Amino acid sequence: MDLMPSITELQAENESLLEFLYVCPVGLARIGADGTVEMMNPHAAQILMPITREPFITNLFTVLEGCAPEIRNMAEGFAEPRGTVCEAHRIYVGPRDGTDTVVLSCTMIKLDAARFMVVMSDISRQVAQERRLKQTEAWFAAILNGVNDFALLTLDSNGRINSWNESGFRQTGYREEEVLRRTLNLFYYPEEAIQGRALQQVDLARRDGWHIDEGWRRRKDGRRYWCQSLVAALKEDDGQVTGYSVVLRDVTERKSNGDDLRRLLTTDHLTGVANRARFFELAEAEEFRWSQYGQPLSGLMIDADHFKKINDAYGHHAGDAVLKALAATCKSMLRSVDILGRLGGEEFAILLPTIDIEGALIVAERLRREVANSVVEVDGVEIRYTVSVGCATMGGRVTNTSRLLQAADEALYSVKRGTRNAVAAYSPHRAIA
Amino acid sequence: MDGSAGAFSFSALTLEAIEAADPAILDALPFGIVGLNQSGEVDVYNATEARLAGLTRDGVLGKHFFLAVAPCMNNYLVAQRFEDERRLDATIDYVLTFRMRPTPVKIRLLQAPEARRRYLLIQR
Repeated sequence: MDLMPSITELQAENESLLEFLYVCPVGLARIGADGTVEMMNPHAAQILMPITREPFITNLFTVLEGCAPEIRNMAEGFAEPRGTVCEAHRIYVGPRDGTDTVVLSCTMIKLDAARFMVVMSDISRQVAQERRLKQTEAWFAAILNGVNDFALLTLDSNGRINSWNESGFRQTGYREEEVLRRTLNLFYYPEEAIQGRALQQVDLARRDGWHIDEGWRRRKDGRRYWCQSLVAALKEDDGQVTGYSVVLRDVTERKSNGDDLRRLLTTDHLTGVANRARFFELAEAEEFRWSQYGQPLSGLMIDADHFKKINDAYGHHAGDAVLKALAATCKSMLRSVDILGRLGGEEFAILLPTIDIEGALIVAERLRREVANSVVEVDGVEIRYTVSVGCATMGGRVTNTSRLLQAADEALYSVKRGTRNAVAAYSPHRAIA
Repeated sequence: MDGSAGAFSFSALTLEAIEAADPAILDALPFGIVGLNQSGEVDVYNATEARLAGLTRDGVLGKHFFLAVAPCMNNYLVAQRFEDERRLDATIDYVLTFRMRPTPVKIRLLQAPEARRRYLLIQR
């Protein structure tokens, strides 16, 4: 009996071994001590080809020099006669166009002084997935593990709260039974709720997919906090909005830290109200709201009467005291959504969202009367002063806030030419001056 | 083949010439020729390619080339170009690992809508 396999049998076996290695989906290579590739299967070549700068792969250490020089060091520094040099060592190759970063896993075994066996595979997808999982975990951990500045809730397609949890209770003080089926208005100050800000946010999220807003919100016990709210629409495949996810974030502390700088940049140092730049920035936002939702928007221009005479008679610091008192009086009479700014000198402006011209005239007249009845005391001297107010509202030819203020200024000028200490509206037939 | 050596050279060989050629002529060429049918299965595998790759023609014929024989070419450099370019005559530098030895090669990719098969010409 012939124990030696025939040449034909050897050929067949050789072929199937070759085929086995050709289709092996893992990179295999045997290299010399200096990195010279002695044997390598096609998959190894395929993995290395995008990395190598040379047209041919002749030396593994050279190919990996750019992204993993440690492979050479590990091989050369491995003192044992044989053994595992590295196992599942990660090689970060770098970003591949348009996809995840390429990461290889490399295991190297020293066979003897002259030969190393290297196994390589592309684990880019796996690494990317791990990273996403880690990010997701970190995100959830941050939200759920007692970080009490997040509250998570969901709304149904009508914007009514349909899920609530501990995080929401922690932030707002409301229990589940108190919030279910209510809208986000619950957390807004009543005047803003009436104005529909919360519902507008849901509308915008429905339109754009998501919306972020921030502002003062109210806890159940009435304490306010500065809240960033993210509303994201939950959509079915057909684009139908089935509900909303909401993240409310208590950033009161961060706000107060950041506020010091912001205050310097946005407020008038004397009176503490919005400076000119800030006022027009806020005006732009109101203008957008007006154009989107069509609710009324009115503006007042206020000017302290005979201000030059006050300065001349009592000195500049008395004039400053009058301006401060005027700003304080205005503030005390306005809602939180109204915008008050000092545009320059003794001139102030106010924007009144959701208020029409009749309402604006009422606010203006109340303000005029309050000022006329007030007394400013400077160094023991009582100073009385008055203001003139011009009112206008958006609509007709008044299509933006700068025209609104021009119109209010025109009305103000008509008062200034007359008796002063009076109020006038832009439309001449409505003037009550 | 003296007179036709030019026409049967690696760079001059045309799709029509391959399809019309006697299999014995293809076997005698000094470079490998692999022809794939529309499903990607090996239809033509010349003797040179079989010898250099260490595979027999019978073992390879009928197998899906990019999935079962040469997965190292199943990428955007080779396989994808056949999918993307209906008319294709391009020569690329490549590294193939014949018998586990990385070997620099030139591969010429040939495809035309009117041809029955797509071809890879492989010159070591």
